[in-house]
Amino acid sequence: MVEALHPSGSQAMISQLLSPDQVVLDLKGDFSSALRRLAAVACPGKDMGPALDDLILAADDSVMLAGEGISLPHLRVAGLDQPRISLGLSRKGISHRGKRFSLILFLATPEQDSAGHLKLLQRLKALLPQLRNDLLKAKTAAKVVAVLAAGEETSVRPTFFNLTQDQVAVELRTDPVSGLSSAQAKSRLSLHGPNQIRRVAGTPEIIKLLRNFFSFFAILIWVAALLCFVPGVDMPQLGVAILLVVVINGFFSFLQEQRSDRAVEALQRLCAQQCRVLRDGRTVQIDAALLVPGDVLLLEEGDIVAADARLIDAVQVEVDNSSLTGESESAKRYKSDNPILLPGKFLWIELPNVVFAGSVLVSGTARAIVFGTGMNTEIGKIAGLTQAIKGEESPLQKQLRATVLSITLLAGGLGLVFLFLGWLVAGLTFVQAFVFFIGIFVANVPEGLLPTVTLSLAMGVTRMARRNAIVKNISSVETLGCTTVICSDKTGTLTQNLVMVTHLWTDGDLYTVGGEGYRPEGAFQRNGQTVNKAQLTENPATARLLECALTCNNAHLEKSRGQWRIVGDPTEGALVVMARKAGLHGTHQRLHVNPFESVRKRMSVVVRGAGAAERLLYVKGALVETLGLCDRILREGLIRPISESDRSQVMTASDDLARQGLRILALAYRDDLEDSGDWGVDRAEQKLIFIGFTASSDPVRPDVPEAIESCHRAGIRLMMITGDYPLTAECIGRQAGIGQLNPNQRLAVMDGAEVMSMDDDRLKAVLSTGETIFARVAPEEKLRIVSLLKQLGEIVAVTGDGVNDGPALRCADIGIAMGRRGTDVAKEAARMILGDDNFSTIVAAIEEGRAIFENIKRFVAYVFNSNPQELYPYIFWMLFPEMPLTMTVMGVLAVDVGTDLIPAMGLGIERPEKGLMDRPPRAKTEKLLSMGFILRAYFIQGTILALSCYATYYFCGWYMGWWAPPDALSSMPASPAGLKMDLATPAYLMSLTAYFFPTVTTQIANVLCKRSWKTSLFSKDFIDPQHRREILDHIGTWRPWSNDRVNQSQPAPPGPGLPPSTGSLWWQWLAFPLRVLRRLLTRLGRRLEKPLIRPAAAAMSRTLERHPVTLNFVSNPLIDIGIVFELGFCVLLFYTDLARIYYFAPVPWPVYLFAFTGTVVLTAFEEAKKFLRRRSHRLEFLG
Amino acid sequence: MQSLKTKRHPVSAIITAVGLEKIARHLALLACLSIVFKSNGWSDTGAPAILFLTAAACLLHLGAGWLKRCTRPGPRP
Repeated sequence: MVEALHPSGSQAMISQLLSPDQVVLDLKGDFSSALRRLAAVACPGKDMGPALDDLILAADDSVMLAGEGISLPHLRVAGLDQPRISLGLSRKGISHRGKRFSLILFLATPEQDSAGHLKLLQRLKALLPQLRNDLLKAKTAAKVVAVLAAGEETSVRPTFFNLTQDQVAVELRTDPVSGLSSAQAKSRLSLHGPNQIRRVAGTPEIIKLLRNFFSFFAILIWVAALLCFVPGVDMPQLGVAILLVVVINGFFSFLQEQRSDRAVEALQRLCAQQCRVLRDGRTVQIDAALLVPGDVLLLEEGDIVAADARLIDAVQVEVDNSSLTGESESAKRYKSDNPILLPGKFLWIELPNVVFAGSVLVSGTARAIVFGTGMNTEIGKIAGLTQAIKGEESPLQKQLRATVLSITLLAGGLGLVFLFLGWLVAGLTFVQAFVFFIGIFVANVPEGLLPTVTLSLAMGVTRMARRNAIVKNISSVETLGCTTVICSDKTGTLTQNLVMVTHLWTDGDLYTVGGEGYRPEGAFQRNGQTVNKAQLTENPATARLLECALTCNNAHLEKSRGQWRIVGDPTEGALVVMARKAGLHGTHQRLHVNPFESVRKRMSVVVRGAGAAERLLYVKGALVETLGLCDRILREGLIRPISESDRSQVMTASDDLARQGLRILALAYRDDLEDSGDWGVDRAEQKLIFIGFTASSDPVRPDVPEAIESCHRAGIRLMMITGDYPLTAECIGRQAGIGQLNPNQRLAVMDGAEVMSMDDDRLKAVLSTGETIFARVAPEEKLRIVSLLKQLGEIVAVTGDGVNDGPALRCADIGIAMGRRGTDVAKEAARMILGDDNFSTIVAAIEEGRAIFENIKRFVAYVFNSNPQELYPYIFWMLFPEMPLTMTVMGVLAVDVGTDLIPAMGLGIERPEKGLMDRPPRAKTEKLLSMGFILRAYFIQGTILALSCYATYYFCGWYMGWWAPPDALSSMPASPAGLKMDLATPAYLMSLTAYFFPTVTTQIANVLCKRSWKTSLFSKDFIDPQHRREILDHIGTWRPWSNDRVNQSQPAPPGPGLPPSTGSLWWQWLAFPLRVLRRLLTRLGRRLEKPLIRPAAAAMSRTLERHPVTLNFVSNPLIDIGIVFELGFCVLLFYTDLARIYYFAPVPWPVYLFAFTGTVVLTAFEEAKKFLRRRSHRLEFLG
Repeated sequence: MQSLKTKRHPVSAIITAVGLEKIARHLALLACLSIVFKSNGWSDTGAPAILFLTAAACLLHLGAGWLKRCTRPGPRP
């Protein structure tokens, strides 16, 4: 499914690149011959002689040596498709330049992948020294590979970018001081290509064009054209003209379809356009596309990093990786040649001495050597992964394809049976029999199926949009309905994406802080008792803590458009909000600031105190570091020396909160500062008085626990996949209710490294049951989790916001991007966008998705019930040749257009029924159409409808005197000889009308009854109370120009006296008269509003409220419009010139009235079924 | 950034598009039948009328496609 999921090249494990036949256990000879042997084993058939000579001659120790007794000769080879390695062991050792090597690993990587080369090199350099002894003990080649594999799996030593700056420069053949020369840059550009994200080739244009020439519609026209050339028809000129039409139509349809892949464009937009580099020792500004590996990139605050690069010089560098990771907090980056210990296996994005393409330098200046450009950057790989994932068919699309195929086979089979019976048995000519084939085929193919599905999905999309879920890929709507697993991220989706102080500890007491968001309102509680503002400010400890929090702070709170927001750092903002909740406002004059530094982990400010000479220092920072600087503590209103017991009490209290995933911030002060003006860090930040600490968190959204409970009721499992730390993730997960699907099952929490170390089978076992929280997860692992869930047969919905989420979003059955904080890349890769970033919106969308499948099932039932009425006339006519044909092919086509379209589509827009979210998700295998269903539709309900048609047909005969009960049934007006309809008698045409009209009237009952499976159409509970209220409000407030008002904000198209817009000019001029007419009608409507429309709408609403059963009949306007359309269409068919085309003639009014008996009979039948269903009789056999 | 606004009246436009497509297919089928009927002498529809039917079907089909494209839901860049 996803080729890119299988690691290859530099992404693969080293043990995966090394097979046993690439291991030489008895390496002998001198270094040169050993190297040649290893090169031959690694790259069989590749002549690397000159390159190896260069390597042996030019290699210096820093490149060749990986550790004691280990040599790591490596080179980059043009034309290599993927990295190759071979390993040689020599117990005696092989001498080279005075050193002996017992282990030689030869590495060759593709010339163009310098980033991959560096990655493999650093991993080998980290791994080989650890495994040296074990490798030398191995007796077989397979054992050697096994040792390497085990070493990679269990290595506790952190892996890091451990090549020195010089090594990086040597590997990339560049000079860190003067950069590349122009000539080098030019040749590398031709080798590596431009630094751009490339679009992977999609479906060829010619295939797209051909699709338009062979769509179902185009095939119909082809058939028409080809028929013109059939001997006996002989209309070649017409054939050529129709061929021209079909070609033109195909080209225009193709032009309409042209649409580009915006995901790639969004990625391209993220990348820098210009950058500064060192070339020939000079600083030059170049197009970022011209950047090549080895270039020395110069960065300063505000720059977008143009390529992946290793920092060789960095001053106060902070980068914003949010476009890559979605995490809003910026990260520090350093120049470092020393190993930087990252616990466990590292996430590539966390490397502290590397900057990545697409990140933004928030502060500082830097110099970096470019090692990855274009598709070899991390963002390029994400683009590659995103594009590699093919769009899969949704479950509904698969169902529809299967359904359409079965129906087509059924219709085609029946048609063929009748074709041969008519031709060979009934004595018709082949062409006559072929016409019947068409009739039966058209009668049985529910052409309205796909349009209704489209409409049903579109309605779902519209309703979801009202609930803040924007669906991009329409077929995804229904997929939501069968979702079995939701993989949600944490920040902003389950949580509010803000920092809020929830606890404060001072003077030995723990206070809880209430409130929501950044609104400065909330209660303080101590031991469950509310503490009012006066008590807080009177207590010296809380008063001092709040003052410190507010004063030692660079953020401020403001109200914008009714919303409270923080300007500045969110963590500092949370302290301001806490202080404002206690009623504090800033009063102190700031004299000096010691800004926050990551090394000190604190900041401090000096302010003027109450006395003229009083100077106060307020400090906030990490607890351990700040507490270490305190020699006194504020307790019970007094300042006293801090004891070990005090320190222990503080640490215990903070540990309890930290275990709940809260972030701790200590607050301290000093009131004995000298007024010297020298308030630097070293002099001022000492001898502090400890006040207390605050604990903050990103709280769970209030409606999330209920939404998750709803998911559990609906049989949907939740997985949290987050980049945050396990403790925090677990805490939030528990608060939200994750893990409560099965109370007997423990909530599992795993971090990214654990996931990485598990093979697919073990991970599948974890994923197959219960709910799990995955923390510190890299994009590749997120994609792997999603992919494995899909392999387990789950329908997976995945949320994401960063560029790194792109692959998982595209791989998921339904990718959901965050509308507010999501990157363009995530939005483009996703199929749905949440306008409010809220998890509960997903649950609402799932309900809509389920409703859609129900509606499509209703539609299929409706259409299949109507088919037999069109089929029986042919069967009887074929079986009993003396019987007249009661429905012609044209009649079938008329039914097809008249009844299968609008009323059927009305069923597609029904709202969700009550209790829809209390059922488990439907099985992926649940069919829209089963054989049992088809048989029931044909033989039970279809027969009742056909009987009704025949009853009216014979009633017409009786009424007109053509037939009376003792007469044979065949004594009705006969079909014209050879079915030459221009010879048909008026009586025969009237009899056709008599059979046709009940097909319409019975369908009225059919469509109304199919609106609910159980609830009676005449019940007050037919419509959900909430929906009823909405409908009544809608009717009561209806105004004919309401859309006009809504759209006033949109630009109007041009026309005389109207401003121009961006739309197609010719179309707007064409539409101008319609717009004028609309405006005139609008004006008329406004004039009539007060005297007529407003009171009429209100009266209508009131009336319908009093008569809920009447409301049942008008609550789905599309069905009502469809019924009116059907009846109006009949009038046109019977009383206009269309009667000559479709072969009808008017009948007396009692015949029309009689036809409505079918409506009554069917309604009674359906109501009886619903009555029995409500009493738990399944009644499947009744259809 | 992307606008999260959906386009105007998607449902009514989709109904129209679906209707147009259905009528287009109906007309194409009528054109086929007219050719068969004419060759059998069941009706006397002229070649221009059949060509008109075909062209009308194609135009309606294109119109339906255009409307569907216009009403494709989702965010706009």
